[in-house]
Amino acid sequence: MTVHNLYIFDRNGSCLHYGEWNRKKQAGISKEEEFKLMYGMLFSIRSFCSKMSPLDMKDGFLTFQTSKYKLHYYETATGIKIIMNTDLGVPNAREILHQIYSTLYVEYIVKNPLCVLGEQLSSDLFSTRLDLYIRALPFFSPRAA
Amino acid sequence: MIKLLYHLVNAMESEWAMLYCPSMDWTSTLSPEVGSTGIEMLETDMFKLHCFQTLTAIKFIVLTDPRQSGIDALLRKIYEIYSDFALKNTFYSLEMPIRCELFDQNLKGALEIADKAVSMLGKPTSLGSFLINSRQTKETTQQERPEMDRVVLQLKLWAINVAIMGPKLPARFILQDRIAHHVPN
Repeated sequence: MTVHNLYIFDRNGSCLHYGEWNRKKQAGISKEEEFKLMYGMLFSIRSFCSKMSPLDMKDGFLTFQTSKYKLHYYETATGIKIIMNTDLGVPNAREILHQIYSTLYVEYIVKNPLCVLGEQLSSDLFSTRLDLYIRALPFFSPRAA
Repeated sequence: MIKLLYHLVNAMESEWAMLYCPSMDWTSTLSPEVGSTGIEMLETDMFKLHCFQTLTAIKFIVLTDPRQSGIDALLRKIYEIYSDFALKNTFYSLEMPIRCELFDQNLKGALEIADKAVSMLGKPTSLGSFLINSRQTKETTQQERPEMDRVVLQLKLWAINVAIMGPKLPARFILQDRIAHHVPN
């Protein structure tokens, strides 16, 4: 069980942060394109889910999984989107993503007067704390194979 | 719902295949692991969408309650029913809406079994079976028709654009000579 990577997007689609831990395969396109592709895909999935939903949605789209990985999604009311790709064995990371938002993003970015919201996050403290947090997760293991 | 989807995915293969851009296999492009397929299961707080893709790129899509289990078996069962009652039906042309009675009957039976297996635990029935019932009643009310069209349109748009199509399959196992309109790889 492991975490592959993590993206944080803002409401305009620009990627604020990207972290990678156990990624086996790169996308084959530039990072910018990859972020745009990820954001666009999630935008389409979200709009699809809201149209297909039989009842009014509260939380909306949560996760999807393929044969190899699972993508967890968390969106705040302000449009900050946190996306985490993990192994298939991880059940529900919504709480974890919520924790990342409330204890890391809000504390180290929003409350930081030097951080300009809407640009790439340049806070080292945030990056290291996020890294520590991910590595401390119960389902994280630096995979050998 | 599932019958609508057969029409949908089959039509999609032939008519929309030209719109299908080879670079649109999003999930496998963005995948952190090698060899990922397209989306197999998508979960929201209100429903779960399961997709089963066969080797011939036919996609079976079922929308259920998030708590429903046993959908993998159901999807395989539906594939079995499809191959038994639709493909082996000499009057059925590929890529067309399925209008085979036996297919409908068996499909309804399979869905009811799946529902019963779950309703023993007191859970609500899945979305799939509801829509199949409303599809089979001849008199569709005015309210129901736009609903169906809306659903079909959304699924069409989505299935073209979103990552249910994983890596482009070597597909096209030619079963009959009539599949001349498939876009070659």
